[in-house]
Amino acid sequence: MIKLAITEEQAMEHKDSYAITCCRFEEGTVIEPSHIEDPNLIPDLEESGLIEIPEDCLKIGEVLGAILKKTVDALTPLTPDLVEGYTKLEDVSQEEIKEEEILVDKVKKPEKVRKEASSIKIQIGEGKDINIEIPFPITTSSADSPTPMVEEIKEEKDLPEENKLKKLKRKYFKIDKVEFGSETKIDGTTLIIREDVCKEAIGSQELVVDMKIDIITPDRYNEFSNTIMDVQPIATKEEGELGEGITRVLDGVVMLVTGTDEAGVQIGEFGSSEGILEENIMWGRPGSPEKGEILIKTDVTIKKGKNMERPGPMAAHKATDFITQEIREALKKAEESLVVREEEFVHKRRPNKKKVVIVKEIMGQGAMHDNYLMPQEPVGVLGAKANVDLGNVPIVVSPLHVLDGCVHALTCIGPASKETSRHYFREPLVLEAMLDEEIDLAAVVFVGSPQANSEKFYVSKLLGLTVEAMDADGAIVTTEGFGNNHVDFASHIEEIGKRGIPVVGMTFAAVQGQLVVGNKHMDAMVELNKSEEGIENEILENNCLCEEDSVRALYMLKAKMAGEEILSPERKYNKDVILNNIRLIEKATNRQIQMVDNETSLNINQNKE
Amino acid sequence: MDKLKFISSERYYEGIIIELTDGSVVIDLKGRMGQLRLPRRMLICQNEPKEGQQVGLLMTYPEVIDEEVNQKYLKSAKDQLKKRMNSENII
Repeated sequence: MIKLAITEEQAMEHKDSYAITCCRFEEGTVIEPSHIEDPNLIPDLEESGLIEIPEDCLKIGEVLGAILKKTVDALTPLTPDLVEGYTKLEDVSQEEIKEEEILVDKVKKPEKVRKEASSIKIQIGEGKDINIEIPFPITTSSADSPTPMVEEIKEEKDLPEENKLKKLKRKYFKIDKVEFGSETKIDGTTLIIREDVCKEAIGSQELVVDMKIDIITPDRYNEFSNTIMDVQPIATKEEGELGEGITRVLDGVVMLVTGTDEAGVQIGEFGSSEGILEENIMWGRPGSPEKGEILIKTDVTIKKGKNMERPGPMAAHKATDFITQEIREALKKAEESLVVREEEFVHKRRPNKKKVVIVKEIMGQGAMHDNYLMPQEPVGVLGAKANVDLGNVPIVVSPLHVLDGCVHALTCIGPASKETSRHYFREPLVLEAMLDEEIDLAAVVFVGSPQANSEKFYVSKLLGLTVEAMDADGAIVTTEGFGNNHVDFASHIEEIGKRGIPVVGMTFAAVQGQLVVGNKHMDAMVELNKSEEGIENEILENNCLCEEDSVRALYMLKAKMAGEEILSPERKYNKDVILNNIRLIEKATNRQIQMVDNETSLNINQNKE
Repeated sequence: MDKLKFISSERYYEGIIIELTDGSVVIDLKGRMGQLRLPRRMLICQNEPKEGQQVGLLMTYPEVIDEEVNQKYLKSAKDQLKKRMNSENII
């Protein structure tokens, strides 16, 4: 058993924790931090039965400087009968531990005072859009002024309530039939794909030796498929550049990238997640196909042995995009009258509100752990650069870039927690934060997760500087999957947190993906797990970020920005904490939050061959 | 996790990286204790990893948690293993 004494700094931080001795100490010893067991280990010690904490156990803050009345062994809880001259602290109630505490809609103390030319404006942080304006002279003579201060509730004058930055419109073209023909075109609600397009797609990539397109209609969901490498929307620009203007999107059909090498080995695959589509997809997640959609599945065969080399998965994606690009060209030409619905996204800046930045950590270890960023076309490849080639450094984009497909994801392992291209196209956190009138969503920052720790800390430092330069009031850091990316995930949170910026983290952790590292800034974490067992269960998108998680993260960030205490987490994953928080938000906001299903809603038959 | 009878019985193991690709790593466990084939994402390293480097890890013993046979998984995983052996790349 490792015994660790604590430092003075820790002692101050944990003054309300139980005081347990870390070694044997003689009668008459003056108690110092170095005599106290690390409070972080207490729960483990308690669980293993090594210690039992009596009701009257004193706190660290109470015993420091006091004298031991008796000689005590290691791991002795210090009680009043053992210590002389302790100082009783105010009763610190042992609060119930929760993953997070919910913002109570109340007006906090003024936090920011901005000096303007003729007046001082005090902005009240949360909730109610109340601004107090005090005439400037009063501030210099308020102490002896006979006039009482008048609090006036009025609209902010100098700072506009909202600045509309950019707009993005999506026009949807309904497709209910996909077939092969002599030319790629959109004919009413039928998408026709040129029969010999595969031949050219194969020819476009040296590593691709064969490729097939399969059109999966809902009645064929029960068929076998190779490992899904990505789910992609089919979209093209009608007007403007990526992230603004008008985007045309096919409704009811998505691209599905799958493939193997010549020997039949799945590309970039560990374990075995190829199989029956119906059972391997958590339908309806932001990054998954919707039930009822037609799937245009490419089955790419690359050269033998290239399945784990970086050019292999890239070639499979590029060959698929050759076909998607041809569909995009046809979609550009489709008649305007075929538009079935439109959707508009507006990125509004709210200068009166707290400035929030979303940081999305994406994989950057190499091969399929990579993403193409900022293509010319939504979720395209052309014009894009891989984040690995960019050195995984932070890339700042607008929320509209994300929703317009600025990420083409090379999705592979950890299918349950890896975000597909479609996930970014429908990113729930970005959508939720954009609509949230209580915050000012400034930007989304993508940062890659390199392989080596030295590089992880390098990009993390750059991220800290980026967020600092933005003058952000708060940040949410998300990551996908689990593994060594949690090292930089923790470091990102630290780099932001140590600059005094409240930060919330979102990840899949639960049972299997528990964090390998932590720091004191990681006190507000949102769990993304949905699986029953808390594991990576190979079901596409099962444990990915959903609307319900976005709501929890935003409320947690608002609570943290308002200076409220976030309660410590439970020691083990407990999904009741999530449910409880959702209920609290529902109660506070009068909003019903739909919780998503997990794998238990799928009909999985293990014995069917 | 509750299905395990011998919980927290992890032991220290060492191994050697014997193969590295852009996406994966193969570790030979010392003492002729077998091999691990993992995505790169599961390896923690200070600098870019190299073949021949040593790794350390805590590992426990796998326990059979269900007498049922998962035929479907078995078939596809065996199939993949055979194909991998036929390909020129052990990974």
